Amino acid sequence: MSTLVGVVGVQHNPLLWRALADPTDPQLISLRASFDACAERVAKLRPDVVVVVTTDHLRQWFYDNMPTFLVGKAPWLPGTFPDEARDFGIPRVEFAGDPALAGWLHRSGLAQGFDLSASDDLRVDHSVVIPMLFLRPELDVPVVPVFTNTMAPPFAPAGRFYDLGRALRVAIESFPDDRRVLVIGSGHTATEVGGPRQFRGSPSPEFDERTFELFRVGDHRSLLDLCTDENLVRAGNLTHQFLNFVVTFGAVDGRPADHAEVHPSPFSSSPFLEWYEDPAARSVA
Amino acid sequence: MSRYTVNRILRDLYLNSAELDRYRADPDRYVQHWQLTHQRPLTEAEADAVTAADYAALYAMGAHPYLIWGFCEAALVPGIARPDLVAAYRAALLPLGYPEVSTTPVTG
Repeated sequence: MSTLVGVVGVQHNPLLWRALADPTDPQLISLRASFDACAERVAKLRPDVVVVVTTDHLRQWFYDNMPTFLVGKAPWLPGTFPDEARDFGIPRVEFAGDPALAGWLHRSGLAQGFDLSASDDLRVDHSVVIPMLFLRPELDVPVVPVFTNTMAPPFAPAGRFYDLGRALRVAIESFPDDRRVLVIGSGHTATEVGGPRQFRGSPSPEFDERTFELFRVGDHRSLLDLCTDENLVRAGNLTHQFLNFVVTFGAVDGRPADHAEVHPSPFSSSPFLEWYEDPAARSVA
Repeated sequence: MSRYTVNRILRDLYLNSAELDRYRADPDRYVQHWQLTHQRPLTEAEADAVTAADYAALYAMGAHPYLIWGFCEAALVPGIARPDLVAAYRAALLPLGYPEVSTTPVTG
């Protein structure tokens, strides 16, 4: 049987790729160190596969056929798009997939009442590439992406994201093969792109602080109450991507995070949310 | 009005550098040609906004902000320095608040 060895939530801002390459800004130096420290903790988990819960940015999935929740089952996953290489300098990469686990997540999801879409042929954007480059720079672990629509309204309610996390945990722990599975939630705290508050730090530090306190104390009910459409948009026009962290919270049944820090940065705030299965790993986080 | 069609042409442009080059060479011709080849008409206001990369107009009509920024950055930089575009964009959008962006808004 498989084990969910850890659950980690980080942001995926594509501007970080250049900004953190050789930072001189003190905030960015500190952020780079936090990514490196998190990568070390991830390495200690010895994951065999990473399930990345994430949101494509209207590149692979668009309004012509927009899945609310989708599991990527391809045996290999090409990464980044030409515009991301052009605008952000993100390298072209390839990930191995894990069709056996992905297929299990699909079937188990359906059996649990999650009518997941699925794809055997997809390209992943910075929402997968950035967290993997920072947390597993060797890119030597297979990836199963689980996409959530948090870009093109209407969106599933926050409670559904939480339940998706719970369903993923049930699916992972019932997978008959032996895998050490890491779940990475790839999202954002309060964030805005293309609106009047873009690119000037967090559009809502209050939202960031309040939500992270709820992760620290393990209060998923209050978090779900807070994550209405209205509150999320008020915190920043693309803040629905925060719901991917709600999925991670569901995957640990809402227990307090072993590690929850939010860095201020010139972009949106940078979160590190971590939960570990092994109690020994919790104490070092 | 079709938010879908506006979003679609913005996405076609910023995802594809060859399309972007054709647009930059002659924006008006590109936008007219795109409508014919895709058999998807834009209203005059929509076509004008895409042709001029008029981000305030695109934003006000409810195009997706992520696509508007991606398109405008790709189309206008380096003709405009990026920090200048960021500042002008922010100032132009500030009075507009947060328009509805759903392609099928709730009515009535």
